[in-house]
Amino acid sequence: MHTGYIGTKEARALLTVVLSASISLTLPQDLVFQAGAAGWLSMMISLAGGLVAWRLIARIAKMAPGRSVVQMAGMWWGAPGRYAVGIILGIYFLLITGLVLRAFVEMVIGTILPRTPADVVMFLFMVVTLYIAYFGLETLSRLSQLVGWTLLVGFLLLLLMDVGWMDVNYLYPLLGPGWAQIVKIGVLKSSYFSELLLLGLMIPGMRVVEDVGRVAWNAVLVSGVLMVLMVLGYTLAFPPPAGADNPFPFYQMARLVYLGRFVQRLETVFGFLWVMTAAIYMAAGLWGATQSLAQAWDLPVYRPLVFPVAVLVFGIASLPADYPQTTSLTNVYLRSWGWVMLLGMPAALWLGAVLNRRRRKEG
Amino acid sequence: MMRWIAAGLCIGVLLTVTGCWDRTELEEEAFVPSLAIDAGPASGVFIYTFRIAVPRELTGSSSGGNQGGGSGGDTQKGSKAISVMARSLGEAINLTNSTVERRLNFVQCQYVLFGEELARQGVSLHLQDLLRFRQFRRTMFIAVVKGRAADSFKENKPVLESSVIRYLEGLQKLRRFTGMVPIVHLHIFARAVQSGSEDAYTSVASINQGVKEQDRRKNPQQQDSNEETGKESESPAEKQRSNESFRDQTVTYEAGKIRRVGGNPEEFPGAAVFRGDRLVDFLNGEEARLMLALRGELPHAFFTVHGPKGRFTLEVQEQGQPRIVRLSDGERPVWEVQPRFEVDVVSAAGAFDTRSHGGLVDMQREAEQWFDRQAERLVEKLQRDRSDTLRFGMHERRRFLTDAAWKSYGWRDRFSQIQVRVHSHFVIRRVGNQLVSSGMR
Repeated sequence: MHTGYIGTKEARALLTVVLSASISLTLPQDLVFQAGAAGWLSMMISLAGGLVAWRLIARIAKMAPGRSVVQMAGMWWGAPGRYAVGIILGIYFLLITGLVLRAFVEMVIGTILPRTPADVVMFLFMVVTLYIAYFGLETLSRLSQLVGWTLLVGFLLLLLMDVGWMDVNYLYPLLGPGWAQIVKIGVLKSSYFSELLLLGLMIPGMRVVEDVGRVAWNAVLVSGVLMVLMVLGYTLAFPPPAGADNPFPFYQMARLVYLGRFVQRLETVFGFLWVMTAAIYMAAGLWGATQSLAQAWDLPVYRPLVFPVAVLVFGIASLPADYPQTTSLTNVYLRSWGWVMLLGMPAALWLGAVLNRRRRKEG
Repeated sequence: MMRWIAAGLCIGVLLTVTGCWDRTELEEEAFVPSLAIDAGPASGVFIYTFRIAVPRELTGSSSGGNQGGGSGGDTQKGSKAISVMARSLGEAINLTNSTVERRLNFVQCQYVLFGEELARQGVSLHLQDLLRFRQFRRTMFIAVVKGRAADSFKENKPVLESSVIRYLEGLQKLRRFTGMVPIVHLHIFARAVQSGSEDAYTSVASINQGVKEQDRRKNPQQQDSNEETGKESESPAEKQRSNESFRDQTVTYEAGKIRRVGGNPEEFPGAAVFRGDRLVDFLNGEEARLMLALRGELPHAFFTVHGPKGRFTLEVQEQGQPRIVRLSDGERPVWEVQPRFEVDVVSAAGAFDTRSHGGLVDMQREAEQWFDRQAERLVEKLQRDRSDTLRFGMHERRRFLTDAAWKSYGWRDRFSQIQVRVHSHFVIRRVGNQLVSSGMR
């Protein structure tokens, strides 16, 4: 049996869950903070940015079938290229996983477990994350397929249950801060799709490598539509300026569910979705960081690196002094400049492939 | 080996992480179902009153017997109120906890009451406390009490409920029954205060001094015998008090002034309207439901109309949001608000023809004229208060493309300039259990 590989459905589920995870973190608040009531329009532009990245990744995947982005860099630019791409990706996933871990831990403490020490929550999360990441892509993707539908239904149900709080009048003035700002924020916030690069590392583990483009398309579209819907729903229920001041948008949306005296206080149910998404996201991030570094050094296995990388993630998560610093580092840097990685890396690889092909032809 | 490690991990996790870190038991918590905030003796100092639930007194259903929820009038048994002077809510919680043997917990808090004086000074300071502290939920209800908010806990003697929680839940439903008690969630209130394009309102609570006095003077022995027999027999003294209450012959919908005998000394018709975070005016019960109707939020109400042919009462249900039409622009633009109602006739005493469609149309017209007149009066009152609780600003801002353009328009100053006409549409569908009122003199 052909084991150790994942199918198209599993890959799609993993990527969709990972991309959608930001919904349960600070994405809605970030968009409302940056673009006011027009945050959802900016998110649509971000989605377009994500689709451009999909096109680039699908194209480079065809140029070197079955190879990861790190291996492609090695093919085109030799060992230095492999090191550069592997290390850059590794550091990116390391940073983003560490910061998301810290943000998530702070959210859990700020809402559900106010008196539990941060280290304890972080340690428990790391244990789960480490376990999933250690067993690799197959475990990760099957788990994602298992919970993906639950998450999809959960997100939509949350929006549906909060419809009573939504008021369409809050979308006006329609262009909020003006079209220039909407476009600018839309481009910057394409960074929310930067985890698409994970697919670039997953390619060698995919059973049908021709499906890379389809997987990316489906994942970007489903998660992008969910992001737009969530930002829209959030803006209608928590319009600016209130919406921009909310540190835990998803949790607050869940807390707002009030369908009479019997159907209320459902945040624990949605908290379950929240925890599952975060666990998969962080495990995928840890796996991504480990894979990037392992591929950079052309190691045959990545598992020995999982523990040291997890320690690094734990260390990075412990660095920010407080929750505002964590979100500011995430939203101002990673979620504003991640688009350079998202579009820049596939574009560079595509350019490398084209030049390489031309050179070979000339040779 | 891996299986043993996995099994060990599972058992370890099950044993260690199933509870919360600080091992808090329910018996160690003092739940606060409602709290009141009043202005203090000096600036920056406030009186916080916490109503703490006494769990063993909260048992019983609202449907029967002399025990628990069924007996009514004794929520004070099921809860204890403690007032403390402090500079912030956090400080008040800590000070109160220096005398209460359990830790105050607000996760079950359903109501926050603001005293009138405090509300007139502005509530944003307290809103920030409520929105930030994790134990408070945005689904809590808020209200303004005429006079001191703490008195509301002291004088509140519900007719049916003895459980303070059930009582608060019952209050929330009043909005659906009469439209006169426009209960508001903290989330909606805070959103309106912060938005800048609309103004907020809350429901009102007030002590009816007449009923309070009657309650005080009531002979305790008489009260006991009534409870035993389950009858409300009227002694000569009570009869005299009833006559005193009903001496003033006008019907009023104003909180604290409803002509009545018996029941809860506290009453809730009307609304408190805000400009920004400050209370600027009170609406009576009738005005409150007109306000809800113009906002498109009146689920159900009885309207009684007096006309030349007699008087009739209509049971109305609003149909969606009222249409708002801009009839003219300029310095004083003219707007027309068009609410629509589905109507059942509940009573009609007079020369009304409820047997024919034509007769019903006449009745509709009379009701529409009455409604339009009252609603226009309300709009003028709110324009004088410069309080856009009718959310006209939310409608107006649809005409603007950017936040900057909307801000420079200066809606706050323009709100009082617009001329508003109300053009309601009543559709009578059913006429009750009688086709005509003839034969009655």
